[in-house]
Amino acid sequence: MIVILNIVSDVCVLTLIALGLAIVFGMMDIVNLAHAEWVTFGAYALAALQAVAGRPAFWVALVVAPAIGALLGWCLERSVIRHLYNRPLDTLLATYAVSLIAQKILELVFGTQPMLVYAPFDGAIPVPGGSYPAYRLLVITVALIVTAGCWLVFARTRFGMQLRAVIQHPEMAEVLGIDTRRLSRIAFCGGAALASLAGVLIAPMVSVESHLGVSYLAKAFFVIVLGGIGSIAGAILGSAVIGIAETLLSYRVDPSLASAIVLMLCIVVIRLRPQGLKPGFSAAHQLLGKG
Amino acid sequence: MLLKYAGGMRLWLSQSPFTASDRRLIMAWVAALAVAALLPYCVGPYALSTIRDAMVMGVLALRYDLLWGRTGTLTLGHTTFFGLGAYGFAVVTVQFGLAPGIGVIVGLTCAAVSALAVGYFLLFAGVRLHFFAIISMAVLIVVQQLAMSWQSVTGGDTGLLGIPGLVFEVGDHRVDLSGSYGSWYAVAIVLLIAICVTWVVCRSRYGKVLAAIATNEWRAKACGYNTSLHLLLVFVVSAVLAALAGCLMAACSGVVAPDVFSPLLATEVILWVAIGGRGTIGGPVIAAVVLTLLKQTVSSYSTQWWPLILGFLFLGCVLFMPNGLSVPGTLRTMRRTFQQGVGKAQLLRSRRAEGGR
Repeated sequence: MIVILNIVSDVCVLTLIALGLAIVFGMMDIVNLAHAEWVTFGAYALAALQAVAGRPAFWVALVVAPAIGALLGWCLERSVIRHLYNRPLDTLLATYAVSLIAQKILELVFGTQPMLVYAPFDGAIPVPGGSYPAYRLLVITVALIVTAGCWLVFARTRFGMQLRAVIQHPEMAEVLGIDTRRLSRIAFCGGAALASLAGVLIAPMVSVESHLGVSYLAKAFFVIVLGGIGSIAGAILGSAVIGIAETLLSYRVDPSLASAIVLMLCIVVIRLRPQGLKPGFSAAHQLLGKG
Repeated sequence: MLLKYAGGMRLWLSQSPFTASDRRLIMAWVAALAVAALLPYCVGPYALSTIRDAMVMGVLALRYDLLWGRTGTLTLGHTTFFGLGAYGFAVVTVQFGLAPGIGVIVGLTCAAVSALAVGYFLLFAGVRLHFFAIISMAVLIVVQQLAMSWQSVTGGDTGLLGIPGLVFEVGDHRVDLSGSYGSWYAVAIVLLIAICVTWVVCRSRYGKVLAAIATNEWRAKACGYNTSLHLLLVFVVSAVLAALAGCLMAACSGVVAPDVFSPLLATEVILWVAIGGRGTIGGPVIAAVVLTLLKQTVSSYSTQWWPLILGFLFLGCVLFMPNGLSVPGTLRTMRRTFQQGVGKAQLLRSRRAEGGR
């Protein structure tokens, strides 16, 4: 039971991070390497709030951090990414530079030592076969709610339909009167907010440093490439595969060896199934031979 | 395979080698050779070793230029192979106490085999562009974690110390390249040979094939070229070149730390090529040497600021100088970049939809 819960909480965190990426990547064909920094921003926002207001500030951070994340995402979109919509590879490089700058600025402002972060409550809840930290159960719940919410927005609202139209065929969507640039901007901010939320949730479980996000970034991209680009189901499936494999392996071998093995497995799977496990419907990726 | 290109080579050789436009090139070569030969007698030992380390980075820049500039394959993790070369050399010489010659061979083989494996699975699966870049970055991160946690072999966080210099025993002769002059000439010769070979390859028919793949892979494929195979070949060759730079670095500085796998170094490599101009041969090498020297100057004041400066340089370079450092080109791009946002909304992906890359 404990093992299953561990796997579930791992998969949930991974899904939460990959979800924002899946929207931005699948939709605008933008590889946002600064995505990881938004996870870090979320964690630092939590740390700063708790330093001011003490432990219960966690609940405030749960709302404030995504807002900050969305705001910063908006700034990034306006200042850098907007100029590079026609040069996808340059976006990758530019966001990479942004992530470097963001990491260093965080270090200059907050220092290099790990920040102090507390879970909102301690205690364990008895489950069959032992007891489990209550906080992790909270993480699982929040992640499930957010994922379900995303899926609802994506599949059941008018906004979601427009989003899917933009992913599928941006020119046609534009012809039909959808403001693709505005939609892209909203989606980008949404992705950034999701990443910051994920940052708040994982902060009490890891050590909060300026390069906190980087290790998640590589995994999140693998989730997207493995799961299939441009689909939420793909992101969930991909995180499930990677999360399960990694958690089970880390019981047997050293964690970094485990992630190496998972990485190799992923590369082999990509060779066998280049379009991903659950392909999305992005026109651009089909042209690139992907999807 | 070789026979296929023999015709092209003959054609290349039959052309008059020295036209008026080549004169500047020959002058550049003469100047480079003169500098390489005479510099050790002009500057002090400290400056010499600094410039030598910068030139090792020049080799790294050259092979990245081969990959990104010539074939358009962007990777974010090519320092993986640089590090593998350095670690291969260090582990063999320090942990097993074997001769440096064997260390070089092991380092190169290590990098070649891993590049072959990664490249085969990714390139033949049609993974290109940003996917390739991201996955290579993931490889880099995982290798870094391995290097840090596999204490018994790699020495963990501190890395390996006391790596011997390049000393070869050929028959009865002992070639000692470990002194300050010796290592300088070793590095200079490797760099010049690498530049020369790259230049010849890129001028030949093969360079045209690579350019075709870079401009439009689908058309190159339709013309009958096995593009995946060509890309894999270039990937492996450039990995070996990177590993060679890694071996030189390890032998010259005597230290290898997990730093070689840090994303920072990978960024610097991309920046060198971006500033020096993609697809030119001299540019990235010069940019690498100059920027490495600049980095050492900045770091001597404060180590904090270099990554920040690097980030801003990189951002500015991507936004305003997609074709490298040249003033009119930069101004043009700057104007275009800012006009784009103000002007009418364009169709987002019409240019890419044509299949251009």
